[in-house]
Amino acid sequence: MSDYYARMKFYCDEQRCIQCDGCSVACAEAHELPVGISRRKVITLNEGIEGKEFSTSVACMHCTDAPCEQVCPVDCFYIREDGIVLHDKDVCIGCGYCLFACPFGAPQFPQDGAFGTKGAMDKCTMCAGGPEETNSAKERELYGQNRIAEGKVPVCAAMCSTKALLVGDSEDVSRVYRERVAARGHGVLSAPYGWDTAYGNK
Amino acid sequence: METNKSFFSQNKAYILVSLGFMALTYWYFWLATIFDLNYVYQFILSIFQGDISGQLVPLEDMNRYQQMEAGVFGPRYDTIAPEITRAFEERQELLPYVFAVEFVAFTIAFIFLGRKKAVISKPDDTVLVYSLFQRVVLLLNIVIMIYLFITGFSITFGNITGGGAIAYFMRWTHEIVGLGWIPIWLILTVIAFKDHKFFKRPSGKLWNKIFLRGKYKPMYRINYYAYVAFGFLLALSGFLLWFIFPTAENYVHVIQFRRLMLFMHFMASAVISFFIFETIYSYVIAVKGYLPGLITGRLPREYLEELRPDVLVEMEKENN
Repeated sequence: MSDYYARMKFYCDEQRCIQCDGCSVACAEAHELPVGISRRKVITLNEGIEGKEFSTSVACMHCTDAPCEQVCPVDCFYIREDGIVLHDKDVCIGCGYCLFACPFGAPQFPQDGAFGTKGAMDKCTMCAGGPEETNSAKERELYGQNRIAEGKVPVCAAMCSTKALLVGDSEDVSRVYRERVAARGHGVLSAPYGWDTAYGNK
Repeated sequence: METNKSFFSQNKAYILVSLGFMALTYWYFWLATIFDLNYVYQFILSIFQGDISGQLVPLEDMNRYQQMEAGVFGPRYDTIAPEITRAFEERQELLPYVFAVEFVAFTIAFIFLGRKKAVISKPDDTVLVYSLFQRVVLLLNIVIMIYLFITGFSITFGNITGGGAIAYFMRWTHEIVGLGWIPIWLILTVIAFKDHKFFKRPSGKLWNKIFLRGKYKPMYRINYYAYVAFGFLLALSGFLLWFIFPTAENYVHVIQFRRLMLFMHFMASAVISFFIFETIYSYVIAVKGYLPGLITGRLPREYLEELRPDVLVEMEKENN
């Protein structure tokens, strides 16, 4: 068990990801994201090379010491007790510093500012909404669904047909990861992507 | 006599500014920065060869995990990004002190060196020094640079503004007004190139309407070349940051380049500030300026005789 609270983390098992894009489509549909915003994306590497091709799904990793929070000049980020990193769009000035600091390319910017400039930043909320009143119309409009408040799993992981994408308390995600590695019987081909960068040893 | 002056006294401004730059470079690149300097050097070389991705090691030479990281998150994170965070925090914490020190230094210079002031007994005896074109460029440059300073500060010192609609407005207008500054910077760079007289003596009347008259004293010349060089870095990096819009599709290919551009923007804006302050001090504080001249284009003849004789000499040559 964690020391104090559940520490929410994502993990994508690239051995299982079949590049169906179900996670990113589900995310876009559930949160009614505008065109050009991809809170979650699926990327394939070594495409066409037999035996080496693999895919993985990536979004905000909700880092332990989130660099976006450190670098934001207007301090629009806040980290919930369960580790989910959220931000306030009414405070955000769209400067983009969070994108420069983010190791995962999570911050997204709509091109809806005047003369095609950046709008307020948008990113994966782990389906936990924002600072507005829970499940209010404004929260839904700005941040999308708040499934965590309803006790549901984030929609990307819920929709993953092969259960490649896992989300939840880090202890539980780690346990599933270990079980899968043991069941394959040949050790790990790769460590959980981005975990060392996002979470360090915590 | 001019010939009796030592090399140091003749070139004092150049030597002191060069030493200042060397000290600043040493402090920054050897003591302060947490860049991976070797990577940055190789990256810049690859940019000049046409590859802006920053992925210096081919994907096929990597193991599976490294491929996954590079393919999803872009080139090595620890090479430039931590420096962006450090430099940003440094700006927010250090810049107020830097500006305070500069302010004190100029105040001390003002107290000890005083202020040159022209005695004008015939204010109506004026000479047309600036053409309408020159006035428009100079005034636009002043107004735009003041706005870019204010809006740039509103981004850097967002901890003071607290964000929100006004700070958001200032951020996007910083981008758009900055784009408008690029042609003004370029035109001013051309018309203020007083050193062209080293190479050729322009005689046509059109030249007199385009180029500013007079000769540069050493510190004025340094201010001009600093404006050209660091203005170029600011304009280039600012334009590219605006032009290369960050999307999920281009992220892997451009993020490292954008980080480098932002660092360049940080550095150039901090350095150009000193020379802008020095320019303001030189033209307005150390010498009592004649600001109406920027509107009307005309300066009193006595003012020119006492403070800007080089302009009068040049005008006489034009008339002959």
